[in-house]
Amino acid sequence: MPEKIEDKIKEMIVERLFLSVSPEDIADDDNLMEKYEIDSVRLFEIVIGLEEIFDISFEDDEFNVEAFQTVTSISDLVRSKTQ
Amino acid sequence: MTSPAIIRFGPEDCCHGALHLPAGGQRGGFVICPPFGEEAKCAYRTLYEIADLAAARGWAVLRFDYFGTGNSSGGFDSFAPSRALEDVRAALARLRRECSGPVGALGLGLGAALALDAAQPSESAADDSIGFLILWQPLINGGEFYKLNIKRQLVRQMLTHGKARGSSEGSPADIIDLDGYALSKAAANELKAINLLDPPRTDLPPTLLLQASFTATPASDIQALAASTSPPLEAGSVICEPFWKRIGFVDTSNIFNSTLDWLDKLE
Repeated sequence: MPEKIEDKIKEMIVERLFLSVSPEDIADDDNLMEKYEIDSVRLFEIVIGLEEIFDISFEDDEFNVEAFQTVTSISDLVRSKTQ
Repeated sequence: MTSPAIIRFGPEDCCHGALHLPAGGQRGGFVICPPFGEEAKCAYRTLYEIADLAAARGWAVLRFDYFGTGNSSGGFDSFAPSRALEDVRAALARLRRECSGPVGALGLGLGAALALDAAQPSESAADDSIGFLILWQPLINGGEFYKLNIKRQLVRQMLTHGKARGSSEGSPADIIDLDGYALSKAAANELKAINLLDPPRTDLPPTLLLQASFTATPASDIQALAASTSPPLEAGSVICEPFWKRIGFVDTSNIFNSTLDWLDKLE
């Protein structure tokens, strides 16, 4: 398992969404919704994956679409909850 | 393959079913216990296909809708897990009239939990034993399932409105909107009370317990279920996208092959 939060997130996204790209192909600032056609079903998988691998739980007011748009924004959210 | 026959069964013929019968000799049969809500919608085609494939191998298969869902009678808010368990038993009884061999159940999600409970010893004098069980990704903890559905609703709101508008606490109303499906408060409480680990389920017939996931290692809750039953089960996992959560094509060949191979060896 990679150490860097961004790398862990990319690996989780590729694995859980069965994407046919490698984690390294995802740029930190790629718009995930647009580039990987992430709908609500797949975004839900990402939310659950983040909660599982980082042992966190998102509060209701953290469900803000901007926070889940890129690997960078997701990493910021995860860091804010784990530090 | 012939088209499935549409039938009604249960009290006042309240349940809608589709019966897939093999063209030649029968080896036995099984009922398909669907999952709940959005999962049932997403899994519909996959459950049709496993019924069709099994019928081609000599199994009679009954797909059906629980009371208050699909084409069965009752408003959606009349669905309840306890009533659905009775529907499973009614479906098993109906299928036994069509079968000379063993009759079992294949369940997914909530349907797997219901199938497991339908296999528990009952005080009924009737011959209602279940010959075998196929449990696909069983709903093990109803409370967790309920929370996940609320969370899925928040994610959907987030994509629609930019941020979630609801609450993870759910609604205090008598009719609860669970990710777009009306559920009575009593039914929601029944759902939340489901716990397949406590009490441990006993006297199980031959059972296939399968997780469908991105990993070949069964999750901790699936392993806990396998260890808790009597006799203990072997937890399996197939690499397969969670088709019960997806809209669109999903390659389900791994779970089909594992299930059909297991059925082939069941005698």
